[in-house]
Amino acid sequence: MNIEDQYRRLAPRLTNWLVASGSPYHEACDLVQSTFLKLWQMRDDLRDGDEAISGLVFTIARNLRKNMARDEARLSFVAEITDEDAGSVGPESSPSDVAYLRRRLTAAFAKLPPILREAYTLFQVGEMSVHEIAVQTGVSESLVKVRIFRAKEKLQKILADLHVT
Amino acid sequence: MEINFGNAPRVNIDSGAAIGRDVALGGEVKSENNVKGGLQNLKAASLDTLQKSEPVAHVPDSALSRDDELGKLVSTAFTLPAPSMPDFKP
Repeated sequence: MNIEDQYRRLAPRLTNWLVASGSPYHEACDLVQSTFLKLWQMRDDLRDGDEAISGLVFTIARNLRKNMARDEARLSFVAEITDEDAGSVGPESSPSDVAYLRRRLTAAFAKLPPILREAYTLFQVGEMSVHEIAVQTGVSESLVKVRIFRAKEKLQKILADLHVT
Repeated sequence: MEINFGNAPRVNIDSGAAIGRDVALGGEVKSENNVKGGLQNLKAASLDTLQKSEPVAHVPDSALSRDDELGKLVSTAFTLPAPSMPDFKP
């Protein structure tokens, strides 16, 4: 298995998910690097299979973060990302628009019950499949779908002024 | 098989395998209490407990689109640069 290829594929998704689920950006970057160093140490025991590797990477990151922040109370949910750090996101959005949006969404995610937040952010930001999330969180695929759906409902209410559907 | 921590209640070592896996994946066991706490958490978070406490309804796949307005906003807001690749050395 080529760890560098997996890094290029998964590091952006993992960074986005860690920030969306409560880690400050710079801490998320440290966690991503630590996660892949751990994966590299385990490389001889790994089997090929993109889905399995994806799940493993998110599991390692979750556990490493758990060691850093033993409980949810220590997660910051502060979108402390400078426009420069955030990089370019497309010609239709200015960095300041995106920064505002990120602050609003980060605050909205913080208001979700943890199990709904986890399911939704893994699905939307981590780009994981319902099956992968079910394996990751130890619940059925039906329950994962319900959690994502309920999270979306709650987010739409919290963000009603943005008129999102 | 059971293991015994002094006067602490016996714990089933099969349940401990789950903790072993977490440790292998970056978790950390700091003390006997940590192990006992982990086992209690595992028990509390068992599939049965979780599924009994949350009603499961049918959600059509169409309701889970990532490309609805909310999904597009989230994707736009969380497109962050990944950190540079670590230097993987033997």
